[in-house]
Amino acid sequence: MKTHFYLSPSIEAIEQRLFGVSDSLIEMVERGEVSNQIATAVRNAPEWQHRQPANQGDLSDELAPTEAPAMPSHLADLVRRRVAAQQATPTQPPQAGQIIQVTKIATPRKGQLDWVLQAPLHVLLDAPAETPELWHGWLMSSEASYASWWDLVLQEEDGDVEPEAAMVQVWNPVRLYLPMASRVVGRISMARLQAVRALAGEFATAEAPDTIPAWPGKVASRTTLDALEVTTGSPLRSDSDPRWRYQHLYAYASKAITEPARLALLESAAVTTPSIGERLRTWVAQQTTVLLAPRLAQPMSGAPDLSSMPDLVWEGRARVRVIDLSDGVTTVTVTALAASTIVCRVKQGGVVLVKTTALPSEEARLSWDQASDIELVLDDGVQQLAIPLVG
Amino acid sequence: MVDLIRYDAELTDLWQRRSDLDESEWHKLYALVWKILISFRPSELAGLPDEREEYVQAFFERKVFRLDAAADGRGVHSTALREYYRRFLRDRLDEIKHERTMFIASDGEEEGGCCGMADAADGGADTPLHELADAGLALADVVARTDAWLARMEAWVTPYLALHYCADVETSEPLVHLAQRLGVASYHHKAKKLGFVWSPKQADSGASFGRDTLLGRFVEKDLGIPVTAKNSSLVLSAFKILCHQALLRSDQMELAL
Repeated sequence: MKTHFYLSPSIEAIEQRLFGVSDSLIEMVERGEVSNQIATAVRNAPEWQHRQPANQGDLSDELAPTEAPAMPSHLADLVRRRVAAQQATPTQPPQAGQIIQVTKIATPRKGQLDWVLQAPLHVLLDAPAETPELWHGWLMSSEASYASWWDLVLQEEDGDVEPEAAMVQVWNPVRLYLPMASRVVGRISMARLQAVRALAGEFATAEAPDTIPAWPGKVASRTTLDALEVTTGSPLRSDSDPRWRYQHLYAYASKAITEPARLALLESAAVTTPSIGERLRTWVAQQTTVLLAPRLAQPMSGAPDLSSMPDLVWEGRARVRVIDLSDGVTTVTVTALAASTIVCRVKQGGVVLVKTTALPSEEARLSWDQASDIELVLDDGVQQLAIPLVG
Repeated sequence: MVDLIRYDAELTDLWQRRSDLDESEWHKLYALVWKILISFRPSELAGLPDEREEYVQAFFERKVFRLDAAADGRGVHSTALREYYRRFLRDRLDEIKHERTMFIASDGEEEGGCCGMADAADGGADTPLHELADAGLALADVVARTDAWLARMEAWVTPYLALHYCADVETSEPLVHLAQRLGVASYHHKAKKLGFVWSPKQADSGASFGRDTLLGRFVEKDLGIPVTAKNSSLVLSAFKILCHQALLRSDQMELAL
């Protein structure tokens, strides 16, 4: 059996709004305000060919303008909600629960990301991230007809919120680089933020139940495992579900938010790298089974200059090398010594991010995105050693 | 020829402050956009099926109310606005070319979901009739009370129910246009107030809506059916009647417009 459904706006209209060539982008190209690469792409788009007025063939002479009828009720409601949201949120960012509108790309250094935002993006702020300029949050969007099991659709009792930020994509977490925040366009209560966090937690640890069928376009309420009420869409099932494409579009759109944050994190990591060495030296001084050892030369490794960071040696068991690579990913190598087999885990706040095993006399490599509160835990089957890599 | 220049100062001012307009200014901008565009008849209108008033309204919602990040803080004049409108109409022509009805395989799970109403409009209303009759509820009376309840609701409720909760019927296709005119998709923020709840099986949950909701009160107060687990089957039957009437009523609304 097939079920008919209706989603509005169409997926094509959403794609056009996020990534199409808008009137404003055409004007930016005409004014020479974009890079050559973007200008070339726009000039090759059909929208550029259509930009010239086509007065020929218009239907007839103009009619006399008539007085506008009253604004339709749904549109008047959208206006009322936007204005109410603006009036209800005079506070400055950042605060947990705030909804931030982003209209422009900002990067730590000018020109690091060649991207023109066509449609404003919205982020619900959750908590501070690694540096004062970064916050964790989730992308938001307006098209609640496309809500999935992991999209929380805000309800009118949640307070006045900008209609463009109608639902929280808990499947699409982001770090926001705060200089990108244009304005605050709403705020949800701490209680509702807890519900979002609970749903995000379930997304990370559970699957949507098999007992609920896919029903695009429907939104209904349910409770999280913590008994918090949330309103969401249905699970995604078949490949024909247009919500897959919707999520794909927004996953790509979120790069406009996540990429500047990644660049900012990278800059911050570059500044703080020496302190990792200092921290490790202090920590090693308190240990009885761990020593610092000069880094062994690896002339063909292609790695950056690591001379300032000595290796750590867990006596008789393993040798650990910490490497900060320039693309924002931290890598550690663990070499098992002699007959030891070492299980290696990278943990953040107690949660395992990466796990691998170094066999006797072999090297294991572990990589992860830069983050805070990282420890490397080595286990030889008899003893464990927890090394605090990042505070 | 309409003298567009006289609109430019006010249009530019309102346009560049779109992020911060108050309610009365939004209504002013709507009236101004209407005046500039309603008298304009670009050739693209000839290929579009609806009245031009609807395209002006849709343009306002999608291109004026919804902000353009790249235009943040910039103004516009009347002639440029008309060109934006022309491009919008071209996009609508393209959308019509690509417009398609979307279907999804439901793998026989239609009895589950949020409301179990998938078969409500199949015409197979025998079971609901029996259920209601056994409970002492006359069909004509239930239908009359359902119609009265729908009539009392705000305009969006009937097509919202029909399109989002009573889908699965070919006859719902024309309702798409009604839904567009009424902006039905913008009412999802009232879904909780309406009252549907996701539930694996209708029978397991007793009812697929909250008691203190529009639908809960409809069932309890208008139909006199207590919302309890024992009555789940009866409640589902009442829903099927509601769904049937919402679809009928939406069809009538569509024809009347």
